[in-house]
Amino acid sequence: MNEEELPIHAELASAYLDDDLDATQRASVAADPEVMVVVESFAQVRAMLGEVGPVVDSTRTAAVAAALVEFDSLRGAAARAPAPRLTPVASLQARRMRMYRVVTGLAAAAVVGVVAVGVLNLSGSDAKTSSVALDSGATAGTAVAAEAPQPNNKIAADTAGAADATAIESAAAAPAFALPAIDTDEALSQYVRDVGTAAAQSTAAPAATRAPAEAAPGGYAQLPCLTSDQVVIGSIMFKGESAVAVRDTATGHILALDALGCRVLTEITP
Amino acid sequence: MTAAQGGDRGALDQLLRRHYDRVHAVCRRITGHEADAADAAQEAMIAIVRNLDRFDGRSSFGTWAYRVATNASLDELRRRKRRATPTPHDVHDDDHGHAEIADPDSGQRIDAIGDHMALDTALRTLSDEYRVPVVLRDVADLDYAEIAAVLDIPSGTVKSRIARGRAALAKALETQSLAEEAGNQHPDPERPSRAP
Repeated sequence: MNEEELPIHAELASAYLDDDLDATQRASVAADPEVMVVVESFAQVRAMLGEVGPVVDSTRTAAVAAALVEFDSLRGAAARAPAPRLTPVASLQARRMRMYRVVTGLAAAAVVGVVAVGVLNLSGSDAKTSSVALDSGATAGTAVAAEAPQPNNKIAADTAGAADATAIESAAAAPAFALPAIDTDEALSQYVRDVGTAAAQSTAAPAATRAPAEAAPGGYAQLPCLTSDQVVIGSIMFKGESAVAVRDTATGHILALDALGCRVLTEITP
Repeated sequence: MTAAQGGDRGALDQLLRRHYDRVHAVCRRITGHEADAADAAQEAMIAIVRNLDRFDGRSSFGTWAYRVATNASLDELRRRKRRATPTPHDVHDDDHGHAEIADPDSGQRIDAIGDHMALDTALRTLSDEYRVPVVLRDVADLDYAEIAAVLDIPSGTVKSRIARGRAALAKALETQSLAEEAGNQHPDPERPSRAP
């Protein structure tokens, strides 16, 4: 179509039909029979265009269903996309729960080891060489109780294993600060070996022992004397003093450090 | 609309169903063919879902949906450019067998089919640039400004194209009517006449 094909009055008639004229123009068009004939023909065109007929339900349903399938697909993709960001959140909680179980369970395992050493020593022929013993009145269970709830419990943090339900239950009723009493370097070495063995049985242990600051948050890791290679094995009573047993992973040395002042109470070279 | 954008599947379902018929009508008039219209309308529904996040509310949802429908229809036309012109039998099928001989209203329905065919034929004589504005005005009931927004052309151009499109359609229909009359020197007395 070109300019020449545009019928006379077409624009006026079209604008009239669309109510796009001011009152004066509208009155002028309404008074012109020729223009009104065109208006009428345009109105017929409009009416015919509007007679599309009803949409078949199945066609509508199919189209909407296809669109919803697309919607589901897009949502599915969207749900998959942020998964890597969401997973750590869930994992963190799971990790915390797991850590709690590890703490209590491994504390029990460690103390069982200590107790076993003590029992073996006590039952030996030379009672005087028994250098590892529980404080008077303390049982294995009380030792667990002393260890497990303490935030500074490096045994719990450093070791992992199956929770000993019995030990955990005993721990709940145990007095605090019932620490293994160690009086000799040999007993200290034995203690470290025992705890280390328990830790080695745990899959979580390596990560924990390599990151003491993480493994003992707010506790021994804050001791200014600890190096990044030094791993706290556990809290002990060394020769009557509150101490921590430490293993230097770089040198293999075992130390007993004053828990408060970082003073080296003993250092055992391998 | 907001709920649908927020991921509410039920709200989206309702939204699409509410607008489907008008979208289909636009597609029907732009494509000029029932099957193409159904395909285009479905593509439009899918495109609406895909682009729902991009709808910013500056226009009404209906206007936006018609824009999507217009594009889907033009795409459909391009895809089926080589389709043969529908035969009367095609139209019969599209209208779901309305022309049953035993139907007492069959005469009127055949007339309606004839009207549809005449209009479709007339619409096919128009280029897209005239057909689409007329359809958006007379089928979708959009105003000049909305059509201008949909087609991204000035409002004055919309007004002019609509006038030209209507004039061309009126002329084409008149020509067909005259040809029909010329071809029906002995009209069937059982068949009611269509136009006054």
